[in-house]
Amino acid sequence: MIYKNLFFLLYSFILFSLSFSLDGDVHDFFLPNGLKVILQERHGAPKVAVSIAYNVGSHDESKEKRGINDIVTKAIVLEGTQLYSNKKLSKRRDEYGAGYGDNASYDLSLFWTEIHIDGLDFILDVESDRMTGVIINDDVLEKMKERYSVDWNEWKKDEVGFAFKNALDEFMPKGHPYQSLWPDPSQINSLTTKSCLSWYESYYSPNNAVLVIVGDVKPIETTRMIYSYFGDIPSSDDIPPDPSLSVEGIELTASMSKHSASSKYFTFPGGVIGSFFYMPSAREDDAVILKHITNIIELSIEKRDNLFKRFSKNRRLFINAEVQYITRLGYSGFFLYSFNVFKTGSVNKINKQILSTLKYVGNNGIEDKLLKQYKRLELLGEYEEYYAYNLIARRLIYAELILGDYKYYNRELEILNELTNDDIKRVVKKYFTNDNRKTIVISMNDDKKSWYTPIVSFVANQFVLRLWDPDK
Amino acid sequence: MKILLKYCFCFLSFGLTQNIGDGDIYDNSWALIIGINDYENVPDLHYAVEDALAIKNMLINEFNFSRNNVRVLIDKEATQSNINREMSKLLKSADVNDRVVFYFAGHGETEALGLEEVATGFLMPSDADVENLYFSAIPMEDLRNISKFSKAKHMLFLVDACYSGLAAVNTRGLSTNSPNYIDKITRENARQIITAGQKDEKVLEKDEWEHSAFTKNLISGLKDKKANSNGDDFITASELGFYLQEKVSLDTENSQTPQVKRLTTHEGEMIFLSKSEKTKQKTDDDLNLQELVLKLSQQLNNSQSQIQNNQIVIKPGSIGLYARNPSKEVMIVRVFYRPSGLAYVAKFKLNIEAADELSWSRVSVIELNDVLEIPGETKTGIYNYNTGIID
Repeated sequence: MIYKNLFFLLYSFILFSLSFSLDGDVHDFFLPNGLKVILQERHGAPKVAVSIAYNVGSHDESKEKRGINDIVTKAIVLEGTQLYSNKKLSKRRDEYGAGYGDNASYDLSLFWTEIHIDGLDFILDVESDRMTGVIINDDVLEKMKERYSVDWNEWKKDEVGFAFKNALDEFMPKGHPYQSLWPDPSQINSLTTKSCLSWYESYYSPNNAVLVIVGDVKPIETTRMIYSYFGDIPSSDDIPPDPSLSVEGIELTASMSKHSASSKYFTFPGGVIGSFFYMPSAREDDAVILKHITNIIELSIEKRDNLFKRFSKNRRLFINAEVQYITRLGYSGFFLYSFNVFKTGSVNKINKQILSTLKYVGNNGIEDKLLKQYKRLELLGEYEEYYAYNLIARRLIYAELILGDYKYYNRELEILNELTNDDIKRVVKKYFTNDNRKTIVISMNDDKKSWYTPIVSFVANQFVLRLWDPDK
Repeated sequence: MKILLKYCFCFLSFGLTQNIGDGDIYDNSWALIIGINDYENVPDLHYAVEDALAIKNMLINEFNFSRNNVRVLIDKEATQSNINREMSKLLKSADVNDRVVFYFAGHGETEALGLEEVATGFLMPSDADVENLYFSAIPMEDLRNISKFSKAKHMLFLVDACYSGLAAVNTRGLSTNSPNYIDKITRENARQIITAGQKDEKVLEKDEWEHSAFTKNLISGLKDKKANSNGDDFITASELGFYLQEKVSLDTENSQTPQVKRLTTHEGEMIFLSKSEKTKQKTDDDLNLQELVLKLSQQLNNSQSQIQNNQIVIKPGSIGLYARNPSKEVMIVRVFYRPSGLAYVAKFKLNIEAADELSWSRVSVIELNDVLEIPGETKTGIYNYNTGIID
């Protein structure tokens, strides 16, 4: 009788799961204060990755509080707590040979460490201390504002990078929670200690966090430690709900953003013309397929293969290009930008060619050879990452917070295994349309242009640059 | 029903306390832990900080000290004024049925003052000035005075410092053969001190130990239960002291002899709940992770159980509204049984451009009264504490 009742109580209390797609036993449970814990045993190397992520990002900031999450995470990382000041923490981490970092993005705020297994106790102490004891006062806030201002001014010196930032910011629909991760310093300066403290107390609490531990751990022993360190921390009772991330009914932005900038890396004129496409939420399988397509295009640029040649018209329209995919819980983004030297390039021609190439892919798919090569490379990458516990922990966190469940941890690989040209054709047709595209134009070093620049440009682009490949 | 539930909890807690637990002796456990490597005016030490952090972790992980009740001062934080301030806070916080551990790892100094024939010992804070010890350091005699001001039942000072032998005075404790020995020592007050050495001795730290001789053996004595000389369930401060005397003397080839003394005439003993390794191993092996999580949660919420019969809850799969923002829909995934009271594991509806089934948040814990029923739509039932089933 007792056993029967006990069974039901236990079952009710905790839902344990062994993931089928994860390599190594996975256990998950909630502490009574709401902290979600995901433990994965991997015993191949005597180390452990500890990542803690909070379900808060810049998308939670109201107009009056732009940049507040960045400032609070900076205070956590750069100031620390009474017990673990930044200096002391760095010293102790070095003693353990730890790798560590943090990332405050649109949708989440993450702190990660990878350390020898002997350091697990120490890291749990640090992370639990950060959940309660971060110092946020007038002095700290002033320091963080000063630092932000210094970083901002430093960045501003890189006019091209800054123009990119401005262009991407311009493409963020007004009134949508996704706004610049780098707001103007005047907005940062308007933040108060009280609002920062209240932000920290509301969001950086156990019931808004996920603790992921991957590595050479013993579940029983580790669970005891987790309870010791995190069990007493009170939960927050005023976590605001997630805002609406839908773009429905929100006015979209202008279709073109033009900038002129001086490059600190090049002394000659040049230009960047980019296409930005709005993409679906990371939740959709299409978003994963689109991310794979982005990687395939990147590979084709790197290999200078037929797809790249088609995009660039055999490098006559531009000599190089880069692609990027920004994954977010709300809408995501695809970005392809072309690069030219001695000229900016023709916006109309490049835009037309990019769209016609994508249309070609929509009709014909990717060359089998390239697709196979990409799949093999990704699989090899997986093997290489087998002992990168930190990457595994971060993937689990991403799956839990962005995809809604850590069990989707392997989704990218699963979709890749099944990926066919039919999938590629379908999503390319659906999302790469002219209506969905924004254009960025950055002309560089216009002041360096002179009467002979067109001649130099013609000679360089037709006879030198197009035939010269630094990778070969 | 309540009885049955309690029975279940007792069953789950079987491995923790055979006859008596820390919680039966003390309401709360407090600690002030100080470790100083980095001195402003005297040569640095190498392992005092490591020692302090190791002691802190041991108290939290092995001896049920609540993390919130353990204060640590390291290096430059450990100034004279900060130590006094934290000591004062500790004295105010600790109540009549509590225990307090004070641990200091750092330099000590000795100076003959004025007409005093006997030299006075001092604990050296990070900002101590050797030329002005009385006003910049903490006189060892102050430990005795401090202990008198506290209401705590048991206080233990562990001083891992040079010349630290000066603070102690000889007073007898109860013989272990006394009738009802355990009962008496846990009821009686105690003010005990264990120092790393006698006066004129210097404490030893070694790279191979990564600790001082004193703290190395302090950890093995408590954490590995080696100080449990009579094999019962407890380690007393006296047992610990005798263990340290033997082991530290051995490790330091008799150049350092820890002193175990009482600061007052009280005859109680600070108790550290001890379980033999064999018992502990059996306990852990017998529990699977699910049982352990429930047991640990029960310990956390021991004093807060709010079990209600006939608790009405929303059924899993049903949708309600978030009370704090009624425009938000909440889907109940399951009812989360916590010893402190039921809650929901639930998902929020997200407003994103994704298919309906993909637009729910991750699961999180939500309090029962934070979910409102939607009349005519939300399905409710009564949570059965015996079975975990919602009828």
